[in-house]
Amino acid sequence: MRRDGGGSEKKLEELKGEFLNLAAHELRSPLGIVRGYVSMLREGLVPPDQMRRVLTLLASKTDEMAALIDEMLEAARTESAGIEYAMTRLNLVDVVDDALTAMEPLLNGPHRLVEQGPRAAIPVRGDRRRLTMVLTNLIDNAVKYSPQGGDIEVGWSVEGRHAVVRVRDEGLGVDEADLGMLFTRFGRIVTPENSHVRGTGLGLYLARDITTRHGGDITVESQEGRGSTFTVSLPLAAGGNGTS
Amino acid sequence: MAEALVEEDEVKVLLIEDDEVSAEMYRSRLAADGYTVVVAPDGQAGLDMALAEQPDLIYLDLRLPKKDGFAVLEQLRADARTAGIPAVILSNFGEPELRARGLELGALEFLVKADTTPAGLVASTQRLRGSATKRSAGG
Repeated sequence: MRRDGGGSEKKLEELKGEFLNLAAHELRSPLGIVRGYVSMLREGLVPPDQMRRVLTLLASKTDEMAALIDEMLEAARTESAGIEYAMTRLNLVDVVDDALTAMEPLLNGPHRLVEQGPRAAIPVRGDRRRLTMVLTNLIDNAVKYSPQGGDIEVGWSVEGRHAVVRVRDEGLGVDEADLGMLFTRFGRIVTPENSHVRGTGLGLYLARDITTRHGGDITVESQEGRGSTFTVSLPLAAGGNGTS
Repeated sequence: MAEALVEEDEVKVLLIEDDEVSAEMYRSRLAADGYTVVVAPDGQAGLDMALAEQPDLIYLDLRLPKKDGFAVLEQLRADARTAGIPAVILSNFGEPELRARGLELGALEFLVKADTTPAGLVASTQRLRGSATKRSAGG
């Protein structure tokens, strides 16, 4: 028993060490771009016709760093008991819009965004910033794990007494045996096909943690090589229409 | 200085880098100093381009699609046609054990991208030009 306990602790320490290295790497990537282009701007080596592109890039890279820091702080907070959510009555469609707006730069590549859902209000109670983080993490995950492109479908609906958002991709998918690891704290699943994909492995862990703190759940269906569908389900707020 | 370098002889740099933004940033800065730069977006393309282009210097990322940087380095060194091309690792991983492994596999240097501005990469290329030139002179 004791030996097993020690082994688990050691394993956790190893995972934390790996996580710190990954986190440093993830921060260094946008930092290197910002430093690099700032130095080129100071050298006067960015042509006027490239200025707008470079400034947009710098803004997006600083946003990326800010989002990563938020994610890491959020993960640290999940361990403390005093975590406070700013719960208000929300329209889930607004949260979806927030997430899609935030992820717009990422969806300009080889992917085609397919949005499916009613524009009528879907009332839920929640922390808007954190629920947006759940969806941006799922969309980010869908983009990262479908490097060849394809459709990314974001659909929302009311199913029974729940507000539901589905994020579907046509990417690498996950082996059934690995599905249980997906939402664990440092549970990034590395395979030869995805080892170059960026990420700390925190995104899905946070997505599930935040969703369950809202009284909801996230499930995943996936087939290796054929893509994944993540389903977020949240209780409808009182006054929801409760239809499907 | 850079212009003189180009007039004397062209120095071709192969950048094996999957991040398009980083690749374009370094490419444009090296090109501004007169270097010819070719970019490979994954490890396998890097090996193919090393053979086809016979660059004077290779900058190699570690986390790459298809074949990681260490595997690329091993294959570069194992093939007589590319074994003599100086290669420098340019990665955002900076752990000592990775650094040690890279140098052991024959990388000339190990640079961390976040600490290597485009001007820094030009300076490194100028510094390492000796290795590249010696290799060209040696055939």
